[in-house]
Amino acid sequence: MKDRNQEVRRRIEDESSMFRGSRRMDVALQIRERMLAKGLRNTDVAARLGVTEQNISRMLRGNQNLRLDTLYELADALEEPLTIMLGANAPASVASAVESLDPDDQQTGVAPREASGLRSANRDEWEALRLSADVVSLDAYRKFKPDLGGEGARRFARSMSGFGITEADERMCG
Amino acid sequence: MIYVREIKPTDLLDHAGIPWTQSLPGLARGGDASRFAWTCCTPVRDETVSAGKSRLFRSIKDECDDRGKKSSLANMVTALNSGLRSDDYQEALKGISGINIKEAFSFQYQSKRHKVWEVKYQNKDRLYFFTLPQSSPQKLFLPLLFHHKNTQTTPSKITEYCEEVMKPFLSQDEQITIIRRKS
Repeated sequence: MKDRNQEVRRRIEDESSMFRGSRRMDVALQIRERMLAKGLRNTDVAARLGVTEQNISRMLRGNQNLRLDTLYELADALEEPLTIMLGANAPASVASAVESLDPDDQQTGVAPREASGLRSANRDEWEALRLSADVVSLDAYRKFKPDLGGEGARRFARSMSGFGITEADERMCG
Repeated sequence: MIYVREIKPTDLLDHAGIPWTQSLPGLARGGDASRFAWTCCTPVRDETVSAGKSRLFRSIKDECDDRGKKSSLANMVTALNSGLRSDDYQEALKGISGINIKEAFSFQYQSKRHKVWEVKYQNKDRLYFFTLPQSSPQKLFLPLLFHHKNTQTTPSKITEYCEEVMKPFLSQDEQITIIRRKS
């Protein structure tokens, strides 16, 4: 676990600065999209929250680190639910990533998820592969499957369902 | 006949090796939010050419090669991923910090002045694009090249390529075939 912690820390250090701007921007843009869809202007949201229009404009510039309370208040002002779920969007977003890849690059494959059921030696190799790419080729994935046996393999295959794993693959797990 | 291949803005991140699905999953939002007013596509030579082999994606692979540029591209794509859902994408992105959409350069063709646009994040990295005229029934947003600009003026290799690609689209005689993305 110690090694894993260090790996994750390194990735966070590497990626957090890369994505900080986009993450803040995406939240502001989603709010603006809903405002547009509902015909709400900054002045309307400001009136609903009892703040100035300049305040709302600043919040929605896309570079603010909005507090959680503020996010909920903005959602309330838009009369929209705010859903915060860890991992909930993973299947849709990863499927999108898989389908978007260029077949000529031969990267079409599956997203490497947490691999429960792998024996320890294979798990380390799988984790190294997972950290190095968002998707791995089906061939790489299948490399690990033969080492799985019985129920562990079936669980692994089912955990990947939705990412291109077929019934034939399931039967191969034994 | 001219060909364009439909893409999603997030495809640009995939080809730059940016792990957006893990770090920016909101970009994949569906439901009502999945409707785009503009169809994003990139010109290809013919239907046998995949998006990955297009000049746009090659420019991303060639030039988007460090963390700073990838961060810029992520910001630009995040903006476009939202803006292109609106008829007036420029208005939709007005006031977003760091994002600037402006005319990059223009050229004369068939007695008219035609603009090549750029979306840029801060100062150096930009995405050159054009859109079909508003009178066209097909509302197309066509990114052409990613470029890390180090010079005051736009390099001639950029201006020449953009002009060369755009001219067939501006001609009234050519039919555009959109190769749809598998959904």
